[in-house]
Parts: sequence; structure tokens; C-alpha cells
Amino acid sequence: MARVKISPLQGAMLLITTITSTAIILLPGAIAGRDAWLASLVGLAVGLAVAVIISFLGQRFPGKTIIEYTEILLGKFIGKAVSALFLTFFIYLAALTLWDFGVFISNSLLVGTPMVAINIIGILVAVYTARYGLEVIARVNQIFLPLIIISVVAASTIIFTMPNTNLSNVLPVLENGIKPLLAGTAKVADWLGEAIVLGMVIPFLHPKKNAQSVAMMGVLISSIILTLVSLVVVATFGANSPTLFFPFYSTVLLIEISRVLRLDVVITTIWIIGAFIKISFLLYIIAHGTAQWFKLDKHNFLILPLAVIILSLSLIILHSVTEYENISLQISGYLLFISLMLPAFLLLTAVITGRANN
Amino acid sequence: MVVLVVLVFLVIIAIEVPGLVKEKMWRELTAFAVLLLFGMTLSIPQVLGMHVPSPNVPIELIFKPFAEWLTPK
Repeated sequence: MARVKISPLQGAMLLITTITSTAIILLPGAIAGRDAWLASLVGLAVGLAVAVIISFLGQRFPGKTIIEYTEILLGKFIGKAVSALFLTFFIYLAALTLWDFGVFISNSLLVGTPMVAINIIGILVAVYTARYGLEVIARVNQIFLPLIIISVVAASTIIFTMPNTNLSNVLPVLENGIKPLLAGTAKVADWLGEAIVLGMVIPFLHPKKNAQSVAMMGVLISSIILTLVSLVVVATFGANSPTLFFPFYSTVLLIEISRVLRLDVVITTIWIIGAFIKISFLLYIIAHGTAQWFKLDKHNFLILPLAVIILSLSLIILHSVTEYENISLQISGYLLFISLMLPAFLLLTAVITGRANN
Repeated sequence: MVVLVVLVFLVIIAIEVPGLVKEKMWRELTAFAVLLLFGMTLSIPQVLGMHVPSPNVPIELIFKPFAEWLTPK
């Protein structure tokens, strides 16, 4: 296989897109009400922990992905089982992202369109991109991530200048005790914990030594974006923000520039591109990881069957946004278990067996 | 609808399998077949209108205590 190389900047940008593209749609911290912005900041600690662990492991096993070094660390059978957990996690994440994508479009822009139609188009585009490989995805992302960030910052600035927006809505801090903040933090942390995708990308980074700063920068910038968006939403809706399905979208809907309405179409189009890059990226990672799990040299032919699996899962994974709201904390628990606990366990094993310092 | 889905699977096989057979990549072909079969078991019952359990069912059960501990009262 030709050596795939991406620059550290591209790696960090891929991580930012992976985290923010769906986070700005569902806004994980919103469950914390007025403390959403605080949840985004506290969640940063967990995200940074994942980033440090993953980049440390990546540097101890140069050229190896998380699927490969899990097997080296834990032996053949347990290793295979644990790396299968990582693979199913990536597949679950891709299905969840595709569900986000479908449910967001069918509830905002194409109201009434069946989700299956949107998801099929989404996954087809992702298949097309993923077959061209990581370098192409990274370059596409390099073009579109600045657009995503500009759109978010521009929308936030406009909303802050509108008469209904009031930053004092942020107060009082911790009005309902610490529990809402913890719940919000768990949800933010599961998004920032998606930094675990770097476990598959670090071997492709060139030059190699920057893995740590790539991971930390990616998580840090994502967290800043999330905090900004949470502040905007809380400043607009105050304590009502947990009742909104797509909080930032609802906020963007309010934008009105001298009688020009529905600017949300422009902005959401850019977000949708972000979600599509995330799906392509995950699809590539899953195909690559599956090929390594089966010990194959190539992975392109696995993309189509995997896309079918992801598409079918995205249609049964959740049946409505309400169901998502009900079990989102359980999902966070699962995502955090795989992205924080398992890598921490791997790190512990590496330290105990003395593989951590060679 | 079922016909359409089966047709999609045939198209996928037509795209990928000839290349694999020509290069005698049997290991790859096995992996491909396993994944495609899994995809079929997930998608065809859905088209037939049967209920396919969501992967969230076990997740909901296992992580219920975690969620209840965090739920704001």
C-alpha cells in the first residue's frame, strides 16, 4: 500500500471537524441549562485526558494504529476482542453521525422527506470520498473547516448583537445544583472523547513527533467553539435551552439582517458539509481498521459493505429525537467507556508490562 | 423494495468481487463476504417490515445506573 501521509495541521483539522460538526448541531452541553458553557469547559479536561493517552500510546508504538497495538499489548485473543470493541465503537459512531445528519436535515431543511432518502445520499457521497483515501479527505477538510468556523463565529457575532440576546442569562451559575452540570459535562466529554479517532490517524502523521500537540490543539479548539456556541444559545434562550432539539439551529433561525430572513439555509449547508466529512473520515478509519483486524493489505473493497452496515444501523439506531434525548446519557456512558476507560486501561497495561518506556 | 435492495447487493458484488477473484485474494474475499452478509441481515429484515433490535438496547441496559446517577432531579 502506498504510504499515506498527512500533515499535523491536517490531522488537527480532521479532529476538529470530527468533534464540532455534529456537536454544533445537537449541542451536547445544552442539557445543563444555563451552565452549558461551563459544561463545555469542564468537559475539556476529559477530552484532553483522551488526547494525551492516545498520543502517548501512538508514540510508543510508532507506525501502529490502535487496532494493532491493542493486540500487541493484550495478546492475541483478548487483544482481538478489545480491538473489536474499538471497531464496533467506530461503526456505532458513524451510524450515530449518519442518524444526526438525516434527522437534522429532515427536521430543518427538507421537512417531510423520509430519513432513508437523506441517509442514502449522505453515505453514497461518503463512500465516494472514502475510496479516494485519507489524504483527499484531509484536503477537502482543509478547505471546508475554515468555512465552518467562520460560519459559526459570524452567526454567533450577529446573534450577540441582536436585541433579545442578553449575556446576563448565563447567571445564576449552578442554579439547580451540580447534577445538571455533571450531565452536561458527560455529554460534552463524550464528544471531545472522539479524539480517540487519532488512534487510527497518528501513524499517518508526518512529521511524527507532533502527535501530542495535534491532539491537544484539536480538542482545545473544539472545546472553544463549543463554549462559544453554548454561550450564544444560553444568552438567547436562557434556562429554556434544554428543551430545544437543535439549540444552535433554533438560535440561527432568529437571525434577521435588515429584513433578510432564513440565513440559516446558508449556515446549515456549511454544517452539513462538516457532517459529511466526518462520515467519510469515519468510514475510511473503519475500513482501514477492519482490514487490519482481518490482517489484510488493502481496504478499499471493504468500504461498500461497511457503508451498507452503517446505513442500516443509522435507520434503526434511534427512532426519534425524543428517544435520543431520553437515552443520550446512556450513550454518553458507552462512548466515554470506550474512548476514555479502554485507552486508560491500555496505558496501564503498557506501564505494567514495561512497554511504556523503550 | 426487496428486489431493489437485493439489486444493490448484486451491484456491490459486481463492483468488488471480480477484482478480488482475479488477484486470488481469498482472505480478502472472506472478510468481504462476512461484512456483506452482516449488512444483509441488518438491511433485508428492515425492508420486509420486521423489527430489527437497535444496538442501543444493550447500551441502555448496561449504562442505566450511570445515566440515573447523572439525571437532574
